[in-house]
Amino acid sequence: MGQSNQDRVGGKGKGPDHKLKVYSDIIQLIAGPDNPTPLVRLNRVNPSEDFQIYLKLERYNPFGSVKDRIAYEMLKGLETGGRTVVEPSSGNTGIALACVANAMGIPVEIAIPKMVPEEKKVMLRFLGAKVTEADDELCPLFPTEGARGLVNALIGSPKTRDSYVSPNQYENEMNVQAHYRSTGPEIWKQTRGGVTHFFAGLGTCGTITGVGRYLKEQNPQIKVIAIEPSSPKHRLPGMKRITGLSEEFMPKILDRSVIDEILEVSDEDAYDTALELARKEGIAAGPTTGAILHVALRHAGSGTGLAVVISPDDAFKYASFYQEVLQAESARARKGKP
Amino acid sequence: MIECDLTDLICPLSKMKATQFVDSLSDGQTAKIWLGDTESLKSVTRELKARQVKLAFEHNGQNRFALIVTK
Repeated sequence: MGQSNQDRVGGKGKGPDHKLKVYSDIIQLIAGPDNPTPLVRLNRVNPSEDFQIYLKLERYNPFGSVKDRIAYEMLKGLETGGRTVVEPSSGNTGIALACVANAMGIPVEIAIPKMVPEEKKVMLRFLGAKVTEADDELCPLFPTEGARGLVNALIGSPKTRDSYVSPNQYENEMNVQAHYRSTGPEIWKQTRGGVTHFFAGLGTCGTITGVGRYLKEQNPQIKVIAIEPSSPKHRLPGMKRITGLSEEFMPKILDRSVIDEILEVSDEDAYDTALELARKEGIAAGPTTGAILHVALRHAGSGTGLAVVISPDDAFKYASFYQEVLQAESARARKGKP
Repeated sequence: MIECDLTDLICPLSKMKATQFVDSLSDGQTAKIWLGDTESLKSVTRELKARQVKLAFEHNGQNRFALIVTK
């Protein structure tokens, strides 16, 4: 008996066919060792042959960012019991959660800081998520993170606590596991074990902890370098300055033992590097990529090795932020300044 | 007097709802906001003072506070 057309293509519940790129649902497109996100060498922003830099382009995940990896891992193990999933997010986790939750039929609400670009808020609403904007100063219990405070209140208030459940990416071990099981092995495989340096930003700290732990287990000599904003008030959505943070507000999943160095970067350097990346390599990435890459390029001047730099997302979600940078650039050009 | 019961909400949800409630009042209108914990009381009071809303305070039992607000 011959196969039905549905069986030939890949029906509901079937595994992914990465070779032919046929999937039984959108979630199967999330990257993993058999379906890695691309690793792209930088040739013009980093001419050094001694210290090669490869960007790991997480925008190639189906929902557009590194957070796609953790969204499914966190949701698949969550007993929602008909409750709404609620999470604080500077956008990428929210978008990923909304997409995965939509595919699973779960309602989603996202608490988002006001300073996040409008593009991300529009995307969340487009996806049907309920979006609540929160001032950073909203909650004295979370002094610079009103969105976290708001979710904390929804989960803790007698009136609302039975209606909500939160994956809590800051404390959820699945955030680490997603990177330990996918991003780390991908990098090791893609570099054929040749990676010497790994650069990633600090936010929830899931990426640096999961990938760092995996790579250190393969080769303890690999340098794991974390990047944080130089100021707690910054324009790098998704990144967090942990230096000076009291233990109470530190992401619980952070494992400092896998980090060799924590280096800081200014907004200006981050945005300038993102522009340089776009104009010299044709890679349109978000400002956090610029932040992480800026630090990696500093290393390129003096070190040797093969570096992998996480590029969390693309430029398109930050068009309004980049517009401000471009306007400032135009103004400088009119005044004849570089 | 119009009332808003926020006793089952903790901060900052209580603060957000209190602010939204006060925003919905007409200028000069007086209302009562019920709060259920001291943390909410502190943050709502601070926020409304910053907005120059006139406030009076009533303590009704261990975990029940009332703010009389005039916009």
